[in-house]
Amino acid sequence: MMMKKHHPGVVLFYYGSVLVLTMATRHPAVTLLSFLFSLILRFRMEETRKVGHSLFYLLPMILMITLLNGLYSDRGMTLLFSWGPITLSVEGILYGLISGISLSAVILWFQNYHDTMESGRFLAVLGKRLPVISMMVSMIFRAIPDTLEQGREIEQSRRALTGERRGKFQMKHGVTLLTILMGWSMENAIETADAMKAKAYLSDKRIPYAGIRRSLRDLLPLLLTLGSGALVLGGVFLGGAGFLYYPFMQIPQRAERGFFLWLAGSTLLFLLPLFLDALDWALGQLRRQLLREVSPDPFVLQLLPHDLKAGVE
Amino acid sequence: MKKMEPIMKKIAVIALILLLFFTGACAREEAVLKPDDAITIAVTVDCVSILNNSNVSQKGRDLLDLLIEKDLSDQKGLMFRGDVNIAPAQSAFHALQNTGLEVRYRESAFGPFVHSISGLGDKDAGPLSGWVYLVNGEAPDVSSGLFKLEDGDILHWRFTVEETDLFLDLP
Repeated sequence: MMMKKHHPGVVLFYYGSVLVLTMATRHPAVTLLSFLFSLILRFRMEETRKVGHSLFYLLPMILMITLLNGLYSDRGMTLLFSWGPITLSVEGILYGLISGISLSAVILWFQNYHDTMESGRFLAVLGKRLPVISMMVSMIFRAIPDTLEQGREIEQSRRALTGERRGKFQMKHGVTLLTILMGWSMENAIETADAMKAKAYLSDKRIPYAGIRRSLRDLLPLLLTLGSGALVLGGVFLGGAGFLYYPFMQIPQRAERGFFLWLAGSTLLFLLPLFLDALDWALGQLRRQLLREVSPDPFVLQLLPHDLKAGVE
Repeated sequence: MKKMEPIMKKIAVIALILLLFFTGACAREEAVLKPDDAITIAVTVDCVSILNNSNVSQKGRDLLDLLIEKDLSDQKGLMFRGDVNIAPAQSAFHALQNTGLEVRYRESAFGPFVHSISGLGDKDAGPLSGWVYLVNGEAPDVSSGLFKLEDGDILHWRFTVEETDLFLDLP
């Protein structure tokens, strides 16, 4: 939440590091922490109902990966069940579980990133260096929801015209829908191109749409990301990220040295947005208390911003 | 009742497929020993190359530590040494199975392929690492399941990090 007010470069750097860490490791402790914190952040950013909706898809996916890996992997030595070539081992199941959780954590972090950063802000960061690529990426991301929306509209119009009720999916209707969507998207491409030209896309002078400024406030999250990233790298360098799934689940002996560094670094990294939120809240409380102590006269009170005024009165 | 029928049909088809799958899958062949004509093979299983080869990956070293800790290997990388009885027409693969070690293998068109013994598997200590076998100091070029052993043969299963480890100082 707090990160919405920061420079998009900082946000991009933070989420980039979190995603790289989550994708690169299968260490159970770090993967579970990543999943936990991404879920907490998700609940803070979105309504409970919507988070529940995405969990509704993620949990069966975790279950399926667990089951498939348990059935296909035959490297674990703690057998639960074995029938000819089919073996089910504790290690295989747990590896599948951690893989599934890791994948869902990546999806949840991406959703958090998406909620923190709108495409305009993304364009504003990379627009000067990579204008064409960043424009293309944001247009592609835009195209998917647009197409879905248009498809829904076409289907609704068709049902309204034919008076048909919501029923089984029929192939011929699907083909019609696809044809119309194809025509629509081509037309849309031409329209977009015209609109871009009308807004002088090809002229040299371009300025990003969103007003973005660097400020001192961005320094804290940047330094914290760098610091915890350095801790994580130090832990990896000392061997703390080592973990064996097969043949038995175990932390190897060499990992004892860097283990706490690795764990502390990644926890700090995942905790950062929550920490910034807490810091913001504490500073707000402090400010309000100070204002209450000086008890400003009504005229000054009128000039104060809304949220501060609520705390003083 | 009419709605139930296709579901029952689907369940029956799935059950049939599962049944075919399970019965078609070959169960592990148990070596039935006849005491009178059994032959004796001296078998050694080792992973010395993890200690000797300098190109071994960190994961390979960790795995050896783990095997030593679980008493599946001694400090020098020797995992099994002893005499094993097999029936006359049986192969190097059967001799390995009769050692009582946990052997995991895949059936292939060229015979069984052993991919892990006691949890140590191929590619665990480097991209080229894996299990190979020697009979009387020579490496046959067929699958261990197709190589028939004779009485008094010396069988050696080795974990090699690279091909050059094959003939290095047999323990």
